[in-house]
Amino acid sequence: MLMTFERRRWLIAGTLGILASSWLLLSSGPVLSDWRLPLMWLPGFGTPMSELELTVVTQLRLPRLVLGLLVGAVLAQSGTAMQTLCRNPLADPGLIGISGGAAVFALAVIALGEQIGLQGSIWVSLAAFLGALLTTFVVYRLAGGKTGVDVAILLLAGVAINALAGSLLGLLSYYADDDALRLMSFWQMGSLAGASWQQLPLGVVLMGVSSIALFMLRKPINTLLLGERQARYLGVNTVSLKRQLIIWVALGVGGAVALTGMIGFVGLIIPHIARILVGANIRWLMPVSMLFGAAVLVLTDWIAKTIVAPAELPIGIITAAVGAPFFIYLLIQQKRRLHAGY
Amino acid sequence: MLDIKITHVNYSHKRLLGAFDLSLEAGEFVAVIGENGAGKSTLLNTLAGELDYHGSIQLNGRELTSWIPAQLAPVRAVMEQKLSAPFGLTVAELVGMGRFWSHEPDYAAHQRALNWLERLDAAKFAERTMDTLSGGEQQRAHIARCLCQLDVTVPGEQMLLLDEPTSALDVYHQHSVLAELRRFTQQGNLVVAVMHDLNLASLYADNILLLADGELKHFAKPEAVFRTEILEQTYRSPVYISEHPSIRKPMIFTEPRHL
Amino acid sequence: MTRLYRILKHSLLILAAALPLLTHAQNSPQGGIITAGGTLTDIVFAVGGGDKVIGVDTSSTSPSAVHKLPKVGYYRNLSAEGVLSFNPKQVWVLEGTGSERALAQIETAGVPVTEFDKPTTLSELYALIEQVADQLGTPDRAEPVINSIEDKFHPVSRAQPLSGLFVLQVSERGVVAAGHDSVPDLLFSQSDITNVVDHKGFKTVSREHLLVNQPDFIVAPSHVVDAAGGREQFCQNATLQLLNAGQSCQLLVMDSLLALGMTTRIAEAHEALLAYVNDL
Repeated sequence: MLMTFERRRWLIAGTLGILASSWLLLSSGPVLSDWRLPLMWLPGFGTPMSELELTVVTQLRLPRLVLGLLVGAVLAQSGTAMQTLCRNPLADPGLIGISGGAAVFALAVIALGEQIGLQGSIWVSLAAFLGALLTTFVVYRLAGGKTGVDVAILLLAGVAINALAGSLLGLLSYYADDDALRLMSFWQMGSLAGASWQQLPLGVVLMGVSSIALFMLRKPINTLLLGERQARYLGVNTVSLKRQLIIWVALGVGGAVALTGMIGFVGLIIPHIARILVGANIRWLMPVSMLFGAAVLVLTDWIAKTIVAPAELPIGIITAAVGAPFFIYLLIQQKRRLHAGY
Repeated sequence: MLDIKITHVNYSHKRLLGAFDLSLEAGEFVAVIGENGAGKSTLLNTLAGELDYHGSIQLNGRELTSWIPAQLAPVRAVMEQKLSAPFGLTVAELVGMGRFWSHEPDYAAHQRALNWLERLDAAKFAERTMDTLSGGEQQRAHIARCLCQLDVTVPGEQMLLLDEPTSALDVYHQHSVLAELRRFTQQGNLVVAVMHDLNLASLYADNILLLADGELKHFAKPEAVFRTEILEQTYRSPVYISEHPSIRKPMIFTEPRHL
Repeated sequence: MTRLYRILKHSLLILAAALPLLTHAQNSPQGGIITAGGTLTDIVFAVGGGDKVIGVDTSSTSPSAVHKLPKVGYYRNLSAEGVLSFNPKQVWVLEGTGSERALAQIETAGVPVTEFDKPTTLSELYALIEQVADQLGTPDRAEPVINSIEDKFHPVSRAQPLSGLFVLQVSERGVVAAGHDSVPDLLFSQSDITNVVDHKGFKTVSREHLLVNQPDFIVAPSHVVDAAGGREQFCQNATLQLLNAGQSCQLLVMDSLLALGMTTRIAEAHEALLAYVNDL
């Protein structure tokens, strides 16, 4: 029995989770660990800090927190949208070619940057974003049909494009020298460490706009739960809805990938967990997924930052290392329920 | 209200339906019957806009293909044969989804949903999730959803398309659902329902539409269609027709087959 | 679902309890240099700046003194906060993209970052030694180091042509060999040995090419030979067995650091190679 107040408590839990992991990320780290740090802006709580420590908290940790919250929310939200669109609990934002495209372009710049005169992480980010959009566009055109995007073909096209991207990546790996190879593998494991106030605004705009747009489409997306046909009978313009979904997911996830590299599992697992907790109704699933996604990503970022300090692990390793076993646990618990509704 | 003048309906080079020249009026309850594969669901799908047709289908004076989904939603509701039960969706939420086209606030939609669940004797599981319901209960929920969708202040000139709406219901609920559908037609609306239970069709339908091999064979009142020669040819089984003890409607009896 | 709830609740509590354990700051001597990049660290120590170094990266494995120093991560993937936690006065990094964002963050925090170009030729190595000595304020320390290398690492020419192959990896699929723009190639050219491989960097070599251009001998780094199980097993590799040098196991095993890194001990590598070749 899913009463409203039961679902509401997960919203509260998600919010608390965000507060808790934000607190963790802000207050601990190799330079300075003090649980009172997040309170420093409140009068009377200020702890004496050196210039360096202040810089670290405001210029390093704070933008990293903002990025983590945003990326976590966007990835989880996009996962929710994709899973509902594809009516498949295994759908992931990367499925429509975003991750393959972003990877090929970004890694091409890393591997061949010297030759083509494009060196530096800004070009890598730009390439990742363009790559994500381009491949999404190609996959979208492939899957276009009379009633808009044919979801089955969308998935297959995405798989094909990702496979093609994989072979291109192999080629790039062959031509890359050792330096580039290392960088390429780091990029593919994702990291939030590069966050800075200069870099954030564009990403915030991209991800923010996409997130708001998807959030406003909650109601129509919900009707997709009954199937595309029934959604049409209920009055939804499914052609336009599917197109919008894909565009916003591409923009949001493309923006995220451009800033952080590839972070896997979040878009797949968080919506799953949220669905088990609050059900498939998007009106609840989306906000809860977003809250959980933000909280979990910041938490894993904290783990990535702390576990091998003063070095850092790429965050993708943690999301996979924690995500996969947890996912298996969920599978075992929920075997009979996984296919319901799709 | 619904004028069907089509020559044929094709799908990937196969002819599914032949020529139809049919006019259905507001206030009518039409039961579509026929053998399996006769084209009943195909007809319904065509009226639902899923299949291309050659010819003309006019709903309330406008060609069906010229309506956009948002315009059709307050006027036409469809209940398919295969029903989905998304995980974690409560019954009230499912029924409330029918109000999508109205853009009314959630509490209003929720209220309407509860009203219709009450009418279909399903209010007691309003807060349960769909996947915990039995087949019959899910069916009633979906019918409630369709009726909720078409719930307007000034009823009339609306169409309900149903594919076997009573297949999983017990006797009590079969009658309560069909009675509710009759009430719907009495408000000036059209119901087109594919039915397998000939006796229920006889009791509730104004007209019977009999299909065979994608062709329209008969369209008339139950008394005219439920005749031995017609039914035996359609269903290739011996039938006996008799009048209902208290209502002047034909009742159909079949007999067990001996191998 | 209460079970899941409990698990989540407990995990959060454990994390909260762990927080006090993290309230220790990295303590380290004030104001020193952090060097990142094996070659750079090696040179800094060689010109006498070792006592100013308070931390190195994981690629810095020479000289042996660095093993006592704390590690800050890998020079291509530095963590800004990690580096800053050592309270360095300066950060010196060997060029190599990947850490730019971290380096920018370190500069924002007020710690100057100096980047040094990676040397690929001998003259670049000498230039780097001079540059480092300059930065340390002891420019006169450069010359003796350079001279000691130059003395032992002068080009040799030979009467009889010799060809060699440097193998970085052996596997079922073939071998990865060193081509141009690599330290092994530099060692070869200084000793007037022809590298049978002409691609750039470390790449897989086609067997056909090797069959046609047979090397007189093979060189391999020690960690690879050890991984294969010793000289004999190493030479048993299918691709190597196609070569005369492989069959007769004409193999020079070199210390990995020496063979692959452009360090101040490069002259030792040169001497080892010469010694082997002269015995052939």
